[in-house]
Amino acid sequence: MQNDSQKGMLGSRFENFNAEPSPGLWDSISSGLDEKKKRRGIIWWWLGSGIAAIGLIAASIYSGQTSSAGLAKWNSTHESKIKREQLHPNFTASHSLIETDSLVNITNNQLNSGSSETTHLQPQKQKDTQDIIPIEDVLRANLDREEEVIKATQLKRVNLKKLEIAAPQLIALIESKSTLPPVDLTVKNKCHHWEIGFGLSSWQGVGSFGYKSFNEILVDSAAALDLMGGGSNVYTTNRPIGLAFHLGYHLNDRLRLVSGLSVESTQFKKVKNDAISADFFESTAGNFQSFSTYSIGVPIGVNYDFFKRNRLRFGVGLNLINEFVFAERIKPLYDANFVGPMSANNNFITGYNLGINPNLHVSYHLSEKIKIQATPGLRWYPISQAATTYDLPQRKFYWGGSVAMIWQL
Amino acid sequence: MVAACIDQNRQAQHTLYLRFVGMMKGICLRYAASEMEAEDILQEAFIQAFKNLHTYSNKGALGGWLRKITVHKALEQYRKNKSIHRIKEEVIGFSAATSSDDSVFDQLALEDLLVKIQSLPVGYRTIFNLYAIEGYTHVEIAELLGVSEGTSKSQFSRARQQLIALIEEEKVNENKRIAYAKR
Repeated sequence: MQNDSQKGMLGSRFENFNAEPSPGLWDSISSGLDEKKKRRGIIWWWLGSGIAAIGLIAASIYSGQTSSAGLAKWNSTHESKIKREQLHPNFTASHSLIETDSLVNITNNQLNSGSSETTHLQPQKQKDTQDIIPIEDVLRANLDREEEVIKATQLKRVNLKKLEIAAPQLIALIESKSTLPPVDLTVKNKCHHWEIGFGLSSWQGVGSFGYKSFNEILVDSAAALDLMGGGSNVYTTNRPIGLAFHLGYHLNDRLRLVSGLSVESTQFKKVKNDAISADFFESTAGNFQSFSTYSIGVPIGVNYDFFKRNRLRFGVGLNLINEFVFAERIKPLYDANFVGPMSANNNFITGYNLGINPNLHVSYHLSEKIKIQATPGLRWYPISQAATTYDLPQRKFYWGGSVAMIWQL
Repeated sequence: MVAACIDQNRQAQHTLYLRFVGMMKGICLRYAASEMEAEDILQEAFIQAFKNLHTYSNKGALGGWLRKITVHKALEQYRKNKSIHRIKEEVIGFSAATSSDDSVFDQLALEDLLVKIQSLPVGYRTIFNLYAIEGYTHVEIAELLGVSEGTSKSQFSRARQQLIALIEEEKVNENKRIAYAKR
């Protein structure tokens, strides 16, 4: 029959039990420590080179520009403490008295008489404890890097729910026993929680159209067209599509800063609305078969997850988009002698668009480190200046979004 | 030495390793099924210890701090396997122990006892270590492993019975060998 006398009955026998390690063990440990140092170094080198490349592109295109609207300062030395969701936010456990470094003999008398250690539950707001992840999270995580503890804890919430709920009390309970010397095992989080990803984006202009009067003046409404004596309806729609590189930095487990780099191609398409403008439609004002502009965008913004369950996340975000237009591609209908159609030609141009992009995002974690994220949203461009060959309608509103695969580092 | 280890001084880290590796490996051997598995746990425990050494507050013995990390790393290994949920009710090849006297454990040499513990299924072995050697209560073990208190008690009971049965069976076989040798 099992009774409490069996608890720790063999502790004393194994108290001084030592075993000889294999000869190559230290080399393996040493390699493991070096690998982690090297990995961290590579990440910083790669990020630094990416930021330098962005700065170089911006400087070369904007050599004559003085305005820096939309380019936010990026504090690369920012050390943020990740605020972890505390199940019991007001307490951590610490201890005031430690006995020895060996297993203590357990007997009923010792247990009944109480331990000589004391356990205190201290308010979380003491110094050095405000942003601490309890040790059971660090030790429980099936990962090597401390910055992944948070994510591991979140993703394994279903499996370890009981332990998480009772964790602070468990620590206090375990460390009140005299079997093992109680120690303060709180771990300070060292922040730095990066993510990178790649994706595709597609947008559709909303209300991007223009009216051309008979004397080829571009107006922006049907009423204005009437005032000009009528004309033809020449619509142009624009549709940016692109590739995007995503970079994110977690301030805590819900809030993150996002940035990255996108390369977009915006295609302009003419849509003829009435038959009588056939000649006009193919006049010099609309002399193109196809027309595209190319731009590099640097978004900077914040994302916030307001819903998290198991592998699913929903959230909102707001980005500021800095777009640098650098090229156009035109395929004219005919040349100056009205001979055509002609082959396409490319021109380097300059231009800057400032966009505001509110969005929703939904992500699904395929694993602890990989997620797929869809980000539908809107874009509004209060500033749109590009020295294109054709006088095209200015960018205003777009709807669309992106889909990306993101890796947690 | 601790400060030097935090500064990633390899020599200091090696010194600390030499001082505590015996104790930590002894713990790993109790939780692992083999020496190879024990060394895997041990390696992970040391890497984590060196990574988090800056959190050691010098308030208690460093050995106790390292011991706790080792035990938790061993429990991580258990959670990876999650064999406790797959332990079948049949205890193959073993009948219930005829003796309920725990003194059989004291009669066995430590190395032999360790071998017997390693031969237990991983769930039995883990709970036996936590209860009979580390001294956790069944409530604490249930919280650590994500099982019920009743499961912890029943698994410990079966582990203990299986160990005793193994020891008694070995005694019987030994007596037979001795009796045969005397002929």
